[in-house]
Amino acid sequence: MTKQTVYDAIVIGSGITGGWAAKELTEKGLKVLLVERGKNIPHRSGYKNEMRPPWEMPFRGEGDQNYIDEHHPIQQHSGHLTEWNRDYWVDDKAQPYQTPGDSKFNWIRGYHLGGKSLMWGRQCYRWSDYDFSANARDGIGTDWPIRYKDIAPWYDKVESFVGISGAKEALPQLPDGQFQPPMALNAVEQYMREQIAEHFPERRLTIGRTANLTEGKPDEGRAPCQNRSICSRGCSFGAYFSTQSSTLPAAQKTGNLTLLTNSMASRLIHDPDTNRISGVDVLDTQTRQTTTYRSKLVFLCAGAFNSVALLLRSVSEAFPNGLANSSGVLGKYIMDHASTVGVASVIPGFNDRYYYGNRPTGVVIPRFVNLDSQEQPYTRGFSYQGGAYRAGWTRGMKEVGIGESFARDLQGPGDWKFVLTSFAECLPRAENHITLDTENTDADGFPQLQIHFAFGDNEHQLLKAAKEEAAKMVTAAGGKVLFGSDRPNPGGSAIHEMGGARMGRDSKTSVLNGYNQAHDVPNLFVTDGAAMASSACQNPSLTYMALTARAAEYAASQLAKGLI
Amino acid sequence: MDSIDNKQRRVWLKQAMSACGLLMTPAAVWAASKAVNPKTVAPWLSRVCDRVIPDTNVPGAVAAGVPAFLHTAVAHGLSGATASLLSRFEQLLTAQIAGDVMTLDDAPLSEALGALDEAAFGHPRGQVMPEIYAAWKTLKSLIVLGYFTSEIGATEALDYVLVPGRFEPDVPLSEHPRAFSSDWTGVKYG
Repeated sequence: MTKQTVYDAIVIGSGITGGWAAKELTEKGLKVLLVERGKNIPHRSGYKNEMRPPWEMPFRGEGDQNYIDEHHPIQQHSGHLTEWNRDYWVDDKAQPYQTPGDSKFNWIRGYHLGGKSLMWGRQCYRWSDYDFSANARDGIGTDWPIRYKDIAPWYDKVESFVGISGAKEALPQLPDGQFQPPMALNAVEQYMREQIAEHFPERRLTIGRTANLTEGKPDEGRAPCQNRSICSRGCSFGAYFSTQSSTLPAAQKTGNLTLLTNSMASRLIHDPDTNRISGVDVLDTQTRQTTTYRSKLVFLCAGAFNSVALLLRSVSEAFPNGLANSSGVLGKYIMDHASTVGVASVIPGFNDRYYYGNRPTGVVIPRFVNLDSQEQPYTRGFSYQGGAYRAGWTRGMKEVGIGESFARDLQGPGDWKFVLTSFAECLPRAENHITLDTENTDADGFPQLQIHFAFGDNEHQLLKAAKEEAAKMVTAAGGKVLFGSDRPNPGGSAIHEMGGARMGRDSKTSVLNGYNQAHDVPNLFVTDGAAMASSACQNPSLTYMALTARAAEYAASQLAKGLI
Repeated sequence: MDSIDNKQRRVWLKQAMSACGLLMTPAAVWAASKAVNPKTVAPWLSRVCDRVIPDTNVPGAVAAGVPAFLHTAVAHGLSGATASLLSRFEQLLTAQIAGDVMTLDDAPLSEALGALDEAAFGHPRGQVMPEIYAAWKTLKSLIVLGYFTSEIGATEALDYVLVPGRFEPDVPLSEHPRAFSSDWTGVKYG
């Protein structure tokens, strides 16, 4: 069935970037169809477990482990799946994928309205020219077609709308932004900041820059953060940024948005006569009916790997190897940060101090190696995220002790722990790639993805250095190192999968131009993580948002000029 | 510091949510753990729970319904437990103490469990762990889990604050010596 309505734009995917595309395009007066493969989770009323204490949960917040093992064998390794939010994570049994050979990749997903914006980590960091020029500097990967100056105004724009709390530090490798007031460091974090500054002047520990409001935005129905730190259940206060709390209501307010849920874009239809996408086949996952929707523009925001998969599925005579793939690099150069626990430690001397409330962010130590000169044997760098806290009652599950003294001890807080997770930049390498599996299909009948991925020698060197440097910082501060690792968690564990349809200056070596527009097909824009040409070592979501807003501005202007 | 009791907190929360124009999530109680009839809980299990977390200044594990929770927990694989954990551990413990748990007084039972606990948690890494040690470590972790996620454990032994409303970064412990069961970071990472 083909719908006669011709939308100005179809946005595929309602996560962080899809929400932004819908907001920006509708606010420019475009009629937009937003297509989401998963179910609708309405803001507030959809957060069914948000307020429930553990004793009101059937499995006390842990979840039915037997069920989780069967249905979420991958998702549970995200470290964020709980009984409260289990419905937000895909059923791995219904949505399988392949990791051929020695590949290891934990593909973490949320198929519902809002996508991963509902349960994301909310850390928002600008990239700098150390990042946008990295590929050009060491010759690994292709040069980004943009520099910091091109995206800085868009960072300003999205930060102001998202509402990001953070402290300005005047660090060139982690540019400051339009921040709401920062959240506070606790006693041990403040001590560690001072100790690190004293012993390692080139390093800086600062509070995480997080998409949690410290000042409410009442005009947008968003209250300030209540310091619960249960964000991933959904937040009825609207205190953290998600599609539901932020971009979707803004788009709906324009009257220009049509939202489809339980609707999976199965194929993009390329018209060889006009060299444009003329429509999108959309499968209603409940009725199993496919409908073709027409539009002038398509914004592909289905999540990095799913966006690439849709392009790979959308073959035609003109594009037999995948839509917009004349370069042959579609699906290649995928990345995810190499991450592991750099250090877990105990910091003595503060056992008379505590805190009240649950701050929904940790701390960050930005990259400090290989900035203005290549002084290390490895290329690029790493950063840390973590924080200090007092051990809770769960320490009793793994410590010796029974009886009254044991029970009374657990009534109080335990030692102060200080933990840093290392995030190492992942180099773009052609052998890390995704393809369609020709033999296995998912529950919707589409080819599964094959994810070919391994970390390389540089990532291992980076994590080794990160472990060593983390231990040095803890030791210098008088802390006791309990544990540290330089072995990367499986790919995907950072939940920063990106690449596969990279931006670039040359249509022969990249899929997208400097405005996230397909070199091959002018009315196709890909603005999620697929567009990334390198990975930096800080969280990418803010950059996705800025690129999306920038691309929307460009696309709308090109459309208005009749150039698309 | 926070001295409001739970009832007051609920009232405050309703007011705060109402002021924000938000919907109140229904406080439906999922009582799967109560599906286990307390009468079917093995008496030996109650005694073991009582020795791990006895009544102190607050009610202990038995009053908190931990024995019943354990039946639910092992049936659903929590903490890596197998469905046969409880019956198997009873067999192993009976063999270990060469007798019936129910015939021991509190003191010798605590002594036996304490010795088992020290041996299990002190077992060298990399060496094959005797079955009773592994079973005990799983059972004990579930007892602790069951207790501190019960309403008694979370709100009487500890302090539960669903909506702190603020973050105070540096508070003297003397002002709040009880840990927060709602400190999700401290709970998650332990």
